[in-house]
Amino acid sequence: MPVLLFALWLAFSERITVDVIIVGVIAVALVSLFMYRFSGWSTKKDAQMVARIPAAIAYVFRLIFEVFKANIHMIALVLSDDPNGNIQPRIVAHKTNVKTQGKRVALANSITLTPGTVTVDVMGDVVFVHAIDDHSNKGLSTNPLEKMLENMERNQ
Amino acid sequence: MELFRLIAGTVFLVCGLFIFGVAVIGLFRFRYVLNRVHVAAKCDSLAVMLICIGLMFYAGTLGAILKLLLVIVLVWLANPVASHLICKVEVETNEHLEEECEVEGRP
Repeated sequence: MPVLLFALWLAFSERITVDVIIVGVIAVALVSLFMYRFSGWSTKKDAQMVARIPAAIAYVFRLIFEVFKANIHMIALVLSDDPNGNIQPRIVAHKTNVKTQGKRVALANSITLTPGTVTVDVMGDVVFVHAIDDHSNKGLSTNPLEKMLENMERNQ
Repeated sequence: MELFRLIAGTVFLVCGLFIFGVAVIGLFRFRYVLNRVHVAAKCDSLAVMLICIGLMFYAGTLGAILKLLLVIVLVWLANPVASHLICKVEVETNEHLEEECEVEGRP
């Protein structure tokens, strides 16, 4: 985690000189000290996070691909003759097998990011989703992103 | 190389602007809030990404590229939260929700 903070600092400062590095190291040390002490960061969690990086990257690329696919459908819908007649909006209660809190947040946000579906609310293991038409509704029940999240959980 | 950067950047920018244009049209063509949220907030996620990629080609320096990457990450995190809150407020306050869409379950 401190490494990530330092990389962020370097990205923001745009140049690598001695004074930038010195100020960065001091600031990162102070912030990480505070967070490790009071905010529940631990090196164990950091190690878990590093182990998850490949799966997370694969997930992000799959998410971008899904967003592309759904966006094209959405554009076709908007530019069709009668958008209000072509849609079948509905609120669906979608039951999910994803267990951990963080992964459920990721799932809800991915559902919202893919056009055609918006997460209205999450209650326990039920995600309430507003789908704009049958196509998005079908895509929801065969969501590859959800399967990826379930796999990630199993492999932990 | 310079020419390639210019062309690639412009292609991405034009694609992003096209999607933004479609989003604006969709905003006016749909009637109901929950349908509008789909186009208003959603096409943004892709359009902002395409525009930022186009700007990355223009910028060229590593610092600017990393900052634009952070812009994409921030938008992709903030966008679903914002549209989710709009929907939640609409669903929880609208008493005649059934007239607008089929409701299979309600929070």
